[in-house]
Amino acid sequence: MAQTVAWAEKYRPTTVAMLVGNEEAIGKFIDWLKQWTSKRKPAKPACLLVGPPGVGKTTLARVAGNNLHFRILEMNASDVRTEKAIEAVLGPSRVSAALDSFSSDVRGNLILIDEVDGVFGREDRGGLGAILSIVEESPVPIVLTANNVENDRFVDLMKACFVVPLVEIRPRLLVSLMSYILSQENKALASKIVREIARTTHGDIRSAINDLQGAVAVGFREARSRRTHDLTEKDTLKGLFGSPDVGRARRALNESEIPLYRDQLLLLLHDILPYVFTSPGNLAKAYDTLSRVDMGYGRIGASRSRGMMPPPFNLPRRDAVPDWSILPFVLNELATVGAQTAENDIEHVIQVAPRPSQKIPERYQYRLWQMDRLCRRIARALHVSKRTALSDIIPFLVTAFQIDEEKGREIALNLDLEEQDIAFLVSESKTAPMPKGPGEVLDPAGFKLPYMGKDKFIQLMRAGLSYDRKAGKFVVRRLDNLDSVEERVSQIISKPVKFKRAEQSVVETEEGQITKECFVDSKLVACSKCEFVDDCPTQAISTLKFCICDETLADPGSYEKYIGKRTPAAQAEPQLRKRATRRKKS
Amino acid sequence: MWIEKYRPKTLEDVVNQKEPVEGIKALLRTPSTMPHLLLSGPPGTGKSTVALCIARQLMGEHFRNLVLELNASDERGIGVVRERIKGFSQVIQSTPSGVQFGLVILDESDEMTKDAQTALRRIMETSSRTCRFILICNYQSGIIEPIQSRCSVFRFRYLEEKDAAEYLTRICKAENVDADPKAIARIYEMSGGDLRGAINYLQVAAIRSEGGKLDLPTVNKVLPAAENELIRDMLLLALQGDFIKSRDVMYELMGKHGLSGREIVRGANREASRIPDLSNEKRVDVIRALGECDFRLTQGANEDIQISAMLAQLSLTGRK
Repeated sequence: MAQTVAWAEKYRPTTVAMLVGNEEAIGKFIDWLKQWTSKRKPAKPACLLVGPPGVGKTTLARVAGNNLHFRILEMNASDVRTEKAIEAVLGPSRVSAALDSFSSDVRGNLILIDEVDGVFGREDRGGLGAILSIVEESPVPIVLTANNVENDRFVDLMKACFVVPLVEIRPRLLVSLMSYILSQENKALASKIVREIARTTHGDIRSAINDLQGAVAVGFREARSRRTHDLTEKDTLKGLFGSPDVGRARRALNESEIPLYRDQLLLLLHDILPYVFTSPGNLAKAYDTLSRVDMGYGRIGASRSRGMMPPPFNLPRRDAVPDWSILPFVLNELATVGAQTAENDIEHVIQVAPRPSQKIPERYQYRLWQMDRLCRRIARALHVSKRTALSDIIPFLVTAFQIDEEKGREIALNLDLEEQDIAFLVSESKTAPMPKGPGEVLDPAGFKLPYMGKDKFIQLMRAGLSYDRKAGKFVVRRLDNLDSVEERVSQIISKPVKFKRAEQSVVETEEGQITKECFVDSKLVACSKCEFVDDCPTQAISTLKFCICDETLADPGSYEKYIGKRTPAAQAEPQLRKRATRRKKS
Repeated sequence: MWIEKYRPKTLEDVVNQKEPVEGIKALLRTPSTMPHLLLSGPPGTGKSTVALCIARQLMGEHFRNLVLELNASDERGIGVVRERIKGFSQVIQSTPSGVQFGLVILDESDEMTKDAQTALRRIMETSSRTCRFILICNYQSGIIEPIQSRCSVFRFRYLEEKDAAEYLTRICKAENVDADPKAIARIYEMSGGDLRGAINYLQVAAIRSEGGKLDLPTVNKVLPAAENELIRDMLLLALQGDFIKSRDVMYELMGKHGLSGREIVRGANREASRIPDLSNEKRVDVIRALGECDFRLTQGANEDIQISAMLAQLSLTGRK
């Protein structure tokens, strides 16, 4: 059953006749290109192929160019296309192309500039203009491709070029292409599935063929055994979770109408699993299975259900050939996802469970595209990857904008960011919480916490806090045991909490400032590094303005004296308070 | 951005990293025999900078046109890489200047798939006449053996405090910032030897500081980013057994902050050591789950599924 050759490669068009769809456009383009081989040059030296992704614009240019014996020089969208760069690339090649054309077997150069609509912004300063000037006087054919030219910038370019529009491949054509491939491969597949593939791939030929190969790998057996009915989504899930019988679950997968050559079912399971299994043990087991199945799908390298989702939800498509031979094993593993009995009724779960894996990417899609674009610009300006831009640079920029918008703007302009990127950063800096940093701590004499329910409030009271309703602030009742209060409060509000210690509050107040340095062993030592800092008597005496450690050195007994002075007092106080509270209670 | 403004322009300006820099200088004495290079080391230690310095030294003013910089993690597909390198080597052929070869800088090449690397190996052979490659990676183990054997390998290390502090102080002088040595020491401590991170901290702190005076409290105020707290929330929620909420936080991290699965795992790894009240045994379990997840992310198709599986594992750990 192993299929080693990718059909998308096997059936890649090599001649113009093999191109599918857009017949009229192809004809126009070939006619234009053929004029170059005759003595009279065409009226316009450049041709602009416009159309949605995946309809074969670049393929058309390459195949036609090869068939007519042109040498193809390519510039991609991702090349930096400033005027100079374009001149540097195209300038000499135009000359050499003119010379080349005297040699026999190669007719000359064909310059292919992909995705011209990607030429914009400051980093491509003058790029469009440079392309335009080359286009107008080029002695060799230039082919440009673009997805979208509905913009004023392109008016001049459109005028200078011979424009050939391409449209999406019609589903019916895709169906006939797929049927052709099936007959060549001697495989059969329900026509319903073929139509479904044609419908869902939006005219992208390559992914249609990949899906077809996957569908054949899944449905190979069923297609011959002539199955009578397809299980709906609900019935499939019922079959999976209905009983711990793995064989039954596997059969349910076989008969399901959910296309298994995509990861659609995985995402569905991912959404409902926590509602099916509520006990952590079962949930962890089921999720482990799911994650391993997901690895299997990763290894297969099939197309994804969330085709056009932004980066974190969808890694860039791999070029590797889908390896369908693993699929049967992966499906066997998938069948074990319901090996434990479901803890909730499946029908009910399907109704109530939200579908975050679909909804959330949609909700954030626009925002992520914005960030993606911003990262691309930053990446180019700073010679870092987009991921580094996202993790290291954007947080930095946002903080810069938060602190001082003017300075942030200055930096952003230096990075060649555009107004809309800056606007995005500004809005980011307004919504992002001000970074707290490890330096900020709560004042035990009154601090605010976000609102929480009654249960947590009672827990906080038990942990040693009281609530000052007038000020709307929490207060720590006893200051002698801050460590344990910290610990318990952190637990309750599930965030680490630190309280200001007496020493620090002394530093803060104007009147009782301690010199931060003191002499221990006749060396200058900062308080934070002093080994006595925990029981330094200075912090307990708020009026003291200097560290007394040097005195301690001079009089070896003085330190003990301070310790002795302090300890009984510190111990006595809580005892007194305890008594007081007890009295209150009684 | 100071990280760009104060990026060393020549190999002489690169601080620390004596060993690799000296080796590279030796190679550059006879450019025509320069091999492919593999620079490996942690982030922010100057790998890309050194690569750019090499380019500048070899190409002089032409270097913008004759160097192809690719971030492997952005353009993972080998098809794209191959086409661009092919197109690029054609450009080199048709450029009538005194340059012998073009330079292809592949950043983060350890994130390329094994297949892509195998294909890259072929490309390195076929275009070796016109191109030299500089591969940059964090982990040398992520590069397949055959490529390693075709390259001279140079390892970069985290910067030492002395050199990093000196560089930061130099920037402060140039920018008229009066920086407290303690503040600088604190910035170094936060960055852990990553000079890019350190310079970014420094710039933010400088914006925050008043009247060009940079002291310890100012530095303490600006750190760190909000995402870290969300990651901690996610871990704590999972450990408390609230899987569904924890998964929602994960989606917020991915959706709103655009973090990839690997970044979440890396962040979680940092936070895992800071979670309060966790027995040693459980902490080990948490770290083990993170490690497993990190591996599975490289294999899997959907990051949200893989991270959720890890969270489900954590909610089991928390319950034990």
